[in-house]
Amino acid sequence: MSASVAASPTALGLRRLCADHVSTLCIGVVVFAGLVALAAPWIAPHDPADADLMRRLQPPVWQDGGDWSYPLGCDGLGHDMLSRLIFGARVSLGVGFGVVAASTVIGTLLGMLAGFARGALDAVLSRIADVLLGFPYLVFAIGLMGMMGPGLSNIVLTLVLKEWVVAFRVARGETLGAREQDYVEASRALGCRPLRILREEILPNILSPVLVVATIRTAQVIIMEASLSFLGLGVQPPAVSWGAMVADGREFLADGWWVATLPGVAILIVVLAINLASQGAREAFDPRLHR
Amino acid sequence: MTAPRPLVDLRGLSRHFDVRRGVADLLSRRPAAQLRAVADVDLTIARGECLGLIGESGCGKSTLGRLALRLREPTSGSVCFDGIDLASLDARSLAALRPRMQIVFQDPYASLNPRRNVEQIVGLPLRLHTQLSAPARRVRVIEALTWVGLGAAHLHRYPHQFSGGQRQRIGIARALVLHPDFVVCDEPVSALDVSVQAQIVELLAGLRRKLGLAYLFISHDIAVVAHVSDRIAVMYLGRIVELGPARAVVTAPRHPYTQALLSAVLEVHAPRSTRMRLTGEPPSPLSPPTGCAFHPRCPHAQEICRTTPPILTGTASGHAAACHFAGSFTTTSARLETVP
Amino acid sequence: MSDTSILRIRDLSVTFPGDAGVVHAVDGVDLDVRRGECLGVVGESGSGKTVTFLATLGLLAPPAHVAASCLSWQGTDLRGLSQAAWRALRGRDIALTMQDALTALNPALTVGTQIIEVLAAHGDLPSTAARRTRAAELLRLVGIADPVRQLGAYPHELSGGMRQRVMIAVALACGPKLLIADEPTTALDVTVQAQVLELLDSLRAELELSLVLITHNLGVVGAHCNRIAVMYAGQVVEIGPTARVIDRPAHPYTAALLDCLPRLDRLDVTLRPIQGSIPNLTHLPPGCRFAARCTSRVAACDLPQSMRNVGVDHAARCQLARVA
Repeated sequence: MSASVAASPTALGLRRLCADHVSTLCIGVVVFAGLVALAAPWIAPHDPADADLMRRLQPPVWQDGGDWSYPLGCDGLGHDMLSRLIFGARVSLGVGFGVVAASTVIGTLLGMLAGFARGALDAVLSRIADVLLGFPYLVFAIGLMGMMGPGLSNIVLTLVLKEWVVAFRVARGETLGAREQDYVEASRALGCRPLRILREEILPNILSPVLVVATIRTAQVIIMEASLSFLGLGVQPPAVSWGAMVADGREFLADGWWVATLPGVAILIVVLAINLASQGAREAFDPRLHR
Repeated sequence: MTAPRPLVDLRGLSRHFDVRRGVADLLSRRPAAQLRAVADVDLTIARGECLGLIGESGCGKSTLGRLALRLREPTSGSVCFDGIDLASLDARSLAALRPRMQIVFQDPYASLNPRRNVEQIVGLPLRLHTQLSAPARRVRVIEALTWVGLGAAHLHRYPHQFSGGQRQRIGIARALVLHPDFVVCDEPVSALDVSVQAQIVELLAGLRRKLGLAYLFISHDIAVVAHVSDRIAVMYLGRIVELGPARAVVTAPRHPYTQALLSAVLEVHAPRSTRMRLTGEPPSPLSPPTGCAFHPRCPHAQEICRTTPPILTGTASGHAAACHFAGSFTTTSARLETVP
Repeated sequence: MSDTSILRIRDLSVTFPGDAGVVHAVDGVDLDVRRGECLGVVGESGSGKTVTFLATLGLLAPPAHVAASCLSWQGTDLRGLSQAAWRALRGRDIALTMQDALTALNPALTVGTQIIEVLAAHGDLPSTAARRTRAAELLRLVGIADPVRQLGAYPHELSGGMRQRVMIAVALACGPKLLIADEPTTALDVTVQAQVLELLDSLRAELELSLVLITHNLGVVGAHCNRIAVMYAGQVVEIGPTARVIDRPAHPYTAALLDCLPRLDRLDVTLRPIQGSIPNLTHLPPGCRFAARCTSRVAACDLPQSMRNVGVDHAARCQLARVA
């Protein structure tokens, strides 16, 4: 038959993903951003909270009046843009991945239970999910943040509360399909107990679509966090967020365009890279496309 | 002298599904429609015997196979395995009995978990029901793989690396690794290429002789069933309409439906005999005809067939048919003589 | 080389790029379909029987690569035909039905609408009423009871046999001269199979239709076809009149295939399966593709094999085939 090298479907998918140069590049960009975020305290040239009104609205290095010690210029209060961008990555990426990780775990577990058990459990969970989905994202977030007050942990909580439903629906749908397969019935015929079937037969087969959706949602969560911070509901100073930076820069669009634009560009690059990478992941791992 | 107790004993087995009712049905106060997948089936399978189950789509043969293993709950009737009534067992005892009764599925592309390798798939029954260590399990897995014509080289491969026939062999190895007494083969070769079908049919027949297995061999392919079975049961719309020794059923069928089935089978080497024409479409299991379920399509139908359902009655040789006029019409058996 | 052939295929090759390499689905196939005949094309999975006709009808899009030295329909070269020309040809001159009628028919449209669509596409009948009448006629032609009422039925409301008949009706709507039926009976019950095949027989006689029956079921071709072409791993390995091919197969694969079928008149005989499995279409051997599984194999089988005449109108791709 084929090569003597055993090739699990996961290994095959990874191989296909690596062959896709665009996706690999995008994954590299995201990884780079993540590393920057992790290493922020060591690589940021200045303290992001360090304000010097003398350098207020100092332009980036490629414009007149800029200098290399502040390569991307300074904002309205004299903070170094580069350092703020680096620290902002911590919040954006941290919230993005953290929220998606937590909501995926919760949503997948509940989705598998609902899809496999059906009946009352499924009905209750699905109704809760429907209600949560019915709230417009931003209205929900603003309302909840308004009640709880701003801050990092509250943002994470709010976003997880909205995001778990996505993973729930995907996991439930995939579980509904997987449980009809003959190999699940084979396990039942062998006397396998339901929890074991969920863990051994269902979970490995729904993981791929669930993870692909999770990567797609990461971009959305990053944008949501940026939006909430832009509205002032996110992390509060002295903590830095790209969204808040864009808000701060609004008033300087004429004479300090870099204050709002650079964080916007950062958001754009990261979100674009995540979207392209998740697209590539979907194509690499979708069994329907590769028979 | 009483016959030894059968290994599998199905009595009065029925399985009905209530069709979900919409608002219109509720408002019109029509009684809920029932889909009778299996109706009042009595069957026994002796130790080491192969009982073939033939029927066309919708006759309920797959459901019957699942009921025999209590993978589905019957609406009424009983299933006894080696004298034990399966309905009397709790979940744990039933799970403990599972190693003795197994199933081989039709679709080799859906019956193996695509994310597990062969060792994990065939080893699962051992992990569930024995306390063997991993090396001991591997020995048993390799033994089962050897029975089906595969080997240790295949342990770490994944299902997508195998052909349909090989996957079916893996499924058979999984079913046999615990040395069961009874195996339900649900259309085991229907999804395979013709040249591979013969391989798997011979494999199953050989394993049965070697391991002393009893089979319930379900298929719509009469030639295949006749080849491996000791006795054959013919199902139509959830009921057994004929039951008897394989050779007798195939060469001298006593029920008109069996005759029609046999005459419709297209065999390469057989001369084109006149086909017994069945008029009309197969009926819907939702609204079975009154009386004999086959009467609307039967060329020999009489008044009694419309009113009274026939009972499965047999000859001394154990060849039974559910027909008021069983055995009283000639069959087109010109093509069914044994060739020396 | 009969000049009653209406469809001529010479040296057809179809390749697809795959994960593991290039898949040679069809390799050097020569086939003729003659006026008024029923040609059976028999093969198992991977034989290329369906791909051959999809390629001939221009239904394969890139990345599939189709090449042939001759592909002609009644003199018209089918290679490089424009999309507009194809649309005029398909349905009107050549029609195709597929195996699974449930997925081949549009589940959201009634049966009548689907037939009328075809009639409208070829613009023969001027008015909707005329098209409706013709659609009902077609349903009656294929043996559907109460055709006018069934025009309003959806595919899922019909049984498998009826759906297959509807598909045949759609195919015949514009009076094609050739019907290619891909596995017309595979998804059907035995009793219904017989009905559908008899329908095709009677339509052939009534409408002077030529028929290609693609199937893996030798029983179907044995009973209903004039000639049989046997395909294996992308090549035609034997072609000839049905009676000859079945009674005296010239190619070892044909013989082995006939041999491994269980027979109702030989219940006690152990089946003789063909050992091994079909070769990997990305790594084909240079010589005979069946050699690895053949019981008559000799050293010369490792050389490429070509079709040899073994009788009147009967050829096989095997050097061991003797001229009868």
